[in-house]
Amino acid sequence: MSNNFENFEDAFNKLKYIIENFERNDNLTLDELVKKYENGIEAYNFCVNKLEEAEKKIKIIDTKFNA
Amino acid sequence: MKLNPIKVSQLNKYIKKHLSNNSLLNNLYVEGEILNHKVSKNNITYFTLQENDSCINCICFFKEDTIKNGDKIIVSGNLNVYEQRGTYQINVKEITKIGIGNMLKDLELLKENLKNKGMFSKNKLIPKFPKKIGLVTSKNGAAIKDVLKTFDEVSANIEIFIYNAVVQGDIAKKNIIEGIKYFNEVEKTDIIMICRGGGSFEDLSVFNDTDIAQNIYNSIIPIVTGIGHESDKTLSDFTADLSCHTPTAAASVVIESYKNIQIEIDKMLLILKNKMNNEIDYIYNNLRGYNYAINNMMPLATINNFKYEVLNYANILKKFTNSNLNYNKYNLELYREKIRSYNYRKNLEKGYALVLDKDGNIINNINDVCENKLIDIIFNKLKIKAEIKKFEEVSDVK
Repeated sequence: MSNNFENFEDAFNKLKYIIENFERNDNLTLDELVKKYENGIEAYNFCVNKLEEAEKKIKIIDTKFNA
Repeated sequence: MKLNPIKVSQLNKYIKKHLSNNSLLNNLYVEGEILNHKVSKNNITYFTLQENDSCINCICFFKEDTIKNGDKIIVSGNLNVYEQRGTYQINVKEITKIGIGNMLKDLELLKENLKNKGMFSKNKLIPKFPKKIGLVTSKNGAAIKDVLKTFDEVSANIEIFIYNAVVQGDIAKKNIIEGIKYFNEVEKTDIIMICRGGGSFEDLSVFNDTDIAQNIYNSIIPIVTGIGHESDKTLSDFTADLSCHTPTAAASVVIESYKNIQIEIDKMLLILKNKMNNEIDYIYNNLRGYNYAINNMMPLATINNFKYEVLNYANILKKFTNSNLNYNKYNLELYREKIRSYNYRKNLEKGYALVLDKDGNIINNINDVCENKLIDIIFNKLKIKAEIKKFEEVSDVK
């Protein structure tokens, strides 16, 4: 698993970009196509993993709350 | 002397009776500004009439939705005591609208002023996948529950920071401003939410504060408001990057992209795979097409045709040569027989002789001879060496 993505949003946007690229039917060479496909799958896996380990952290800031 | 206590109900009854008999109070004509205007489901209209620091509750037993908070009106009606609660209110018979009230007028002026300063045209992009969310609200209020409940609907890796702030009354302004600053300077979040559950016009008046509006405007981080108001927006809403009518709606917008994210990325995976397969199929088909074209272009057939033709010619040639050869062979045989029949030796056997010079050339001409020339005379089984003594030409030897 590659660590080319900063966070979920980054991976998601890259995946979306690749899809848009594919759908626009840019003239991609086969090598580019395969590379993009691999990157897309990587981004997808990254997103899925991130979602699986998702948990919400809640912190209450109360320090200044007087007066 | 000690008086016997009377009961609360007796007091309220007395007050009601006393006030009801006052002709002035039965025929009221009162001017003020509307606050907390509300129409119930059974079409009863409630509002508060305010003037300076004084206010009185009003009730209309009809639906009145043409008026709004801040309107300056004159009501006519009578005073009505609500015994059960020990309160009194104006039972409104008629309303006359006389303009915008001072409070609303002030607010309108403020709004206009801020708008002219460009403070209402802020619309920072709301991050689609906020990781850190700053929430300015009361930790004991209804808003926080609604927001967290909405967040719980999605599977997302988010951190929620709640800045506990009073959202009503005097401390509210200070708290809310501190909250905005906290999330801009201390715990930098991706987005700030300012939320408060529903309340009356008065309850929400803190959100019309210009200092809060200014701080919202100054925020580097995008701000979404979810202030529970039913009708008019507050100045905070106008200056925020995005305003929603309720905390739930605000929370919903903030985590919108996380909703159905799994479905969306699965959809993208499908597109990715389909596209890849289609492209590869397409390339394969092209390759097959090219292969066919190349095979067709290759002169194999022509070469084969040539080969066949050449072979054919070769066969013909062979046939022809063979027959020619046989023919020649036959002729040769024929000639050999002929030659054999002409063989001089046969003539020698018959008794003829052959005269040759010393070089073996046949002598059959006068030019071939001279006197004293040595000659060979060949017989069948005899060879004579002779010398010409004399010769003469004869015309015909018989």
